[in-house]
Amino acid sequence: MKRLLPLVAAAALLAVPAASARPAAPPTLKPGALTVALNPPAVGFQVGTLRGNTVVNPTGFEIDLARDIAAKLGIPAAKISWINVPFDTLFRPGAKPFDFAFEEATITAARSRVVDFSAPYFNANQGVLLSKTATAPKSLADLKKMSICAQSATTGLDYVQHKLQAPSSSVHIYTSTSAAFTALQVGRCDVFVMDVPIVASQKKTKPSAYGAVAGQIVTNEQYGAVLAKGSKLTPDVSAAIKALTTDGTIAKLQKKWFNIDVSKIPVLK
Amino acid sequence: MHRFLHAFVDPFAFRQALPDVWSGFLINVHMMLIAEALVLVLALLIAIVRGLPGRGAKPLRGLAIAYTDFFRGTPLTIVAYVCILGLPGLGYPFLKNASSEALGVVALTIVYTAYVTEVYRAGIESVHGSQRMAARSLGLTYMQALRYVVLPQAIRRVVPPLLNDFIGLQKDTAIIGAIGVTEAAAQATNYANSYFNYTGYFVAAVFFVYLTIPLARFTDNLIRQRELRERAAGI
Repeated sequence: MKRLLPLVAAAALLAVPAASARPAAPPTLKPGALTVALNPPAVGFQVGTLRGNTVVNPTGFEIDLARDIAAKLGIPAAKISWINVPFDTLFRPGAKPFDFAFEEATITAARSRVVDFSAPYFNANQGVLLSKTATAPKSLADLKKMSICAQSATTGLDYVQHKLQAPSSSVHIYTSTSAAFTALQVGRCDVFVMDVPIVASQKKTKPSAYGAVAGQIVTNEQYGAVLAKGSKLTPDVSAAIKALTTDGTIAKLQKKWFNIDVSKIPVLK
Repeated sequence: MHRFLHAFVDPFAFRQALPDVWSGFLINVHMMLIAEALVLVLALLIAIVRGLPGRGAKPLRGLAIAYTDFFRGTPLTIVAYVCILGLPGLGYPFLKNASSEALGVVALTIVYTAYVTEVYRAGIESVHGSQRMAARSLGLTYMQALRYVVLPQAIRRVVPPLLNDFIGLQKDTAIIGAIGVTEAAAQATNYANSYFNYTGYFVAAVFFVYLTIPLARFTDNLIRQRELRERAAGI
């Protein structure tokens, strides 16, 4: 015990100035550290290995962006922990186990009632990815007649069910993006309706697994980071994203990770 | 309390979610009926194979034991993913064109056959060996003794546990909903994700319970009838 005492004293001496050095630490769950929720894989946005609930070595657009935001908040990259939160549980009301979530979540009025959204960091439309055997739909009316894969709780599924009003017998719902991509690959359905950047990146990575990205449906969606309703961190994250948009960082990151000319994909009407 | 009621048993949401969940529930019932019919037949066959006597039948018995051991211990979710997403990937046209629902029934059948085989086996083994010997000594062949003496008694004894597994099967059809079959639980999840209200799950639960309660009472009745009959015979 005697030998420990000087150590404890030294630690106390060290700890005091460290704590007082940054008086305005951002209001994160664990002070000085940042917990970011992901749900990989979404090629381009985020890929990583899952170890239990943590994501190991994630890379992608959203990872780089989260690191930049952390830097703006004054949190070093080593203090960021990445956890996996399934997308279909993201909009559950109540407390969140993360500071913010990057899961390509479209900002909608309904979702805004149960969670906070940051300022948008990405613009997207819905894309239609074909299976290898399906013929491309020429119009939305064609699309309605096809069998459609979609992911639970996504704006893509919402579009298919409520705007396109496809018959429920021809809509196949999967709880994860990867299950829906597998289903499309093995021919469970003709098309997968999902955000353009996600399907276009996936097609680019595994070109022989799917047919073409046959079209896009203009929905003018914007992705925002998801935070707990009323989170004190929301203004800080929004300010960081706005600053990163203005200084061109986000545009640079988009070019680095995607580099897909979305305007070449025909618009379905 | 009010918030709890609003989130889980809201009357307005109940009515709103009802039609979708009901249309999904019909798929559950459909899958259950087909799977149960298949299970009852296949499990009986495997149970009989497992009970075959003699050294010559040893490999067959081994296969039956391996099957029940493996699939009784495998989670249904895994079998379902393999059947629904894995099998069509093999590229055979008849598998590729099979609906997710049909492949889900295949998964349910595979897993529940393993359970029900054990139920049948318990029934067959509960018939005293003297019954079989008496039948053989009357000149019945092995199969005849099984068919006319052992099985009628065995099956009558295991009807209650069979119905119990039937209820389990019915509930487990909901697992198939996670893999592209839009049944009641998937519809409820979808409702919850669209409106952030969980009453849809309650609606689905009510449907399932409405189906299982009559089954449970029916089982109780069967047990009571058998008890009455056996007691009367004993006097």
